[in-house]
Amino acid sequence: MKVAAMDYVAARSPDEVLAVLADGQASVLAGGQSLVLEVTSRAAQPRRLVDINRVAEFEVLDQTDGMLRVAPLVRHRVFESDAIDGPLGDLLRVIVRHIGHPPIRARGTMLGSLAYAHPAAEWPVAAAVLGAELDLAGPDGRRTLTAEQFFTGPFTTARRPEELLVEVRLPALPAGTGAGYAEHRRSHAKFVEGAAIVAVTVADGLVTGAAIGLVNVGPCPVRARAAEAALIGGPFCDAAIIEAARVAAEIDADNRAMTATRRGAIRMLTRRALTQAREGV
Amino acid sequence: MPVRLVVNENNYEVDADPRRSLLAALRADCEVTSAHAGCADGTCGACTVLVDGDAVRSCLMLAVQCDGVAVRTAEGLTAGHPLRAALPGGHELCRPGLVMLAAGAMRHDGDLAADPGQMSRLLAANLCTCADHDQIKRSVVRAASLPPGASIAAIGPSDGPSPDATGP
Repeated sequence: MKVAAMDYVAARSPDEVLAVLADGQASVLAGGQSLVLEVTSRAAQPRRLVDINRVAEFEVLDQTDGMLRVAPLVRHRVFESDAIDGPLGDLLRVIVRHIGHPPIRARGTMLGSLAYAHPAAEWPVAAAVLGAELDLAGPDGRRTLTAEQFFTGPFTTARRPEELLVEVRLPALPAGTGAGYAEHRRSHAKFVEGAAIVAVTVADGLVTGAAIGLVNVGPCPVRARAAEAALIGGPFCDAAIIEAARVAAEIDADNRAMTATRRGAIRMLTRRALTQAREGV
Repeated sequence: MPVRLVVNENNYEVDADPRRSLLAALRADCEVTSAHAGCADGTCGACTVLVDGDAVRSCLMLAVQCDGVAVRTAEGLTAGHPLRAALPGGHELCRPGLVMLAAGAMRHDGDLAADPGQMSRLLAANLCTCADHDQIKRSVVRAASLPPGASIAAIGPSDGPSPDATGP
């Protein structure tokens, strides 16, 4: 298929990126592992591509004062290394191994995945689980959104066409936090049918914090709030895990496709992820 | 303004139409025949080449993105590279991509060649349509552990079915 005509700009600075985006007609080319495919298949027909790969400021990954700051060119692969310490690093490492495969992870970026907002993508749910702050830069300056505010639907976010997702901040998880990830996919070359991402904090034998996120269960990243509430305050025992998984499966996230099979998968995945998290506490 | 691609240390000036993938430019303008258009949607990995040392899908990069960047294809594996042994005269659709996938990973992890299990898991990133995936994967895994300059004959008989076997 012949690709629609488009212009290409290799930006050299953040200001240049924003200048090219200003008319709302450009798409941001970071890792390109989804965008190039969309362009070559004509699923997307941007008037212009602004390539940010030569903007050195966008490669920064910074972990200070309990906050991980991720810039737009930090590739998935970076999260495989032990560059990020603590339970947050453990969670990101366990998730990233399930994103694409090595050639995709060498190019694709965390912020690109967030901005693309694929309902079966792992990072958007991780952002919701971790309480991420997402910074958008545009002609009127910067604004900060939570994951709940940022994701508005499948492939749809609150980012305006003239804005760039310029930084994501992930708060460190407290000591005593165990992380877990479990997924169901038909083959490693497919997107996940469903996955659970959990982070559970235990102090003095009782659960003091719990975040349970579900991938590809609703149009936006889903938090199983009722299941989280069921865990908090009690011991992190088998019975609590089984009960939290049961509650998670009752979630009313996508009532068009909530079959018994899917609810069974959610229950099983939540249980596996929580069991994994308990081992890491 | 044309784009300058540096492919296997040779310079090529190629058409700078931003619609062209790196794969299309390599095959049309840079004398590369080893990178193949299998699925053209990033699934199969038959187009895998090294860009700035990383194994990537060349169908998922634009040629304009690679202006002045070093690209290496299976043709450009240096004489002493052990993975040359996994590249016999003919190129199946998938084999050069598998070889470049392994070559890219070996650059990042020097110990990878000594770990056949990990290498085999890595190679699962690429697909093969001719049902020889396991045999080709084994030859890449085995070649990766060869001393530099060794030939495929030096590894001895394959521990799987011969590629020449007729059957079933």
